[in-house]
Amino acid sequence: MKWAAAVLIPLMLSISAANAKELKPLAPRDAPSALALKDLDGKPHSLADYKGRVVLINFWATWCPPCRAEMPSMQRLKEALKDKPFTILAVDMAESEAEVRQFLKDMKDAKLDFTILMDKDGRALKEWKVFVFPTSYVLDAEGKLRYSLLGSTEWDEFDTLKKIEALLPQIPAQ
Amino acid sequence: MKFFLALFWTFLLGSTLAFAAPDSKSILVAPNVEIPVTRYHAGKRNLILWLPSERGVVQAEHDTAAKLARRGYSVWVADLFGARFLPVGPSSVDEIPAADVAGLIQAAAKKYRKIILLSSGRGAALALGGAQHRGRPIAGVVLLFPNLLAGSPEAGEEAAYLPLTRQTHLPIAILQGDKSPWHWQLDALKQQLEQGGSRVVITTLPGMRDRFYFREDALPHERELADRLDSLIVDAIKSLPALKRKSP
Repeated sequence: MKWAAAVLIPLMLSISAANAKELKPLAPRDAPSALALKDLDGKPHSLADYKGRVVLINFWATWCPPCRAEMPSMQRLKEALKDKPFTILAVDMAESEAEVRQFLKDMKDAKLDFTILMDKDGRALKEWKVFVFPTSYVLDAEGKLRYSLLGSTEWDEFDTLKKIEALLPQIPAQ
Repeated sequence: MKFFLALFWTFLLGSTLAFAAPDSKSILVAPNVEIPVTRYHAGKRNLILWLPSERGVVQAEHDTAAKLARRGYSVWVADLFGARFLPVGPSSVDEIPAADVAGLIQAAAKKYRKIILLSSGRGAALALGGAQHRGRPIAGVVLLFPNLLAGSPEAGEEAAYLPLTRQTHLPIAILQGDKSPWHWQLDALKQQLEQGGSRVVITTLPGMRDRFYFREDALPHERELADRLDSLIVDAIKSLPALKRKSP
């Protein structure tokens, strides 16, 4: 039994890692729009508010199974970079606050506490030309697009973490 | 009395068999290319030619085809992957020659007066591709959650559609669930289709995700609508807009 576990668990982990999609590098360029949206509590946000921080923008919806699957790894990524200038903005597609709050309740074990923005009329989705869920973009501290990912991944995997860390601005020593 | 009862049951059984019993036939569309088709018979007036999506031919499509036959529409469910020994998948759809679909249309046109092309997802490209090669007029195309993109668009960049999107001149009905990013890009797709002279009517399916009628994780309301897919298709066919005449 033990030997089976010893063989099967690493095998399953390697298959899982092999299935995870990788961030696709982009030639640095401006974001398609300011992403001026309100969060679940009605507080307005805009990309300009995050100048100087690396931002992961994730387009998702509660009814999308791969979106739901990658969210715990997004939370782990947030925690891994908690002392760094890094922010996650998860843009929900045209759902109600109640639907999103219910989702957070369902996912309470994952303790998701990153910012969720409400794209109520699909405007951001249209501006960013999102055709696949989930779709993610990583912006550098200058607000330039640097990576894209169509589909889900494990956001706290080593390679992904290193790529995002490499974008983090160096904080001058005190 | 017994005689009339026997006559009634014979008539009932006979009409059920006439409208519902499917058969299989391989249709030769090119040298050494035979397309396996399951045919659901319902007279010689209207034929729905159901082309597979990137998920292949699914059981729900056969079930719906049987229901459509009972409603007076003959249906051919074509296994275009099997004909070319292609694995089911998105890249395989793009490998299927449009001439295969055109060959099916040609074969169908010998028997049926009105042909409607039907497909979903990436199968939309097969339908429009086949329609380019048509020898006879096609009554229209019904597309469920169609994917006619030429590639994956980058953030904010205009999506590139397959050229045949702009080259089609047909009445088109699109059925699209609103639980899909595609729902928000329908205006752009409609514009592309209209460039070729197509007339497009869009029906939004509230609360539905793409592939709702054959998803393994289908929710109860999706399963319920999947049971009524035949009605959706009939309504879509009835909604097909008439084409404007091309100016001379």
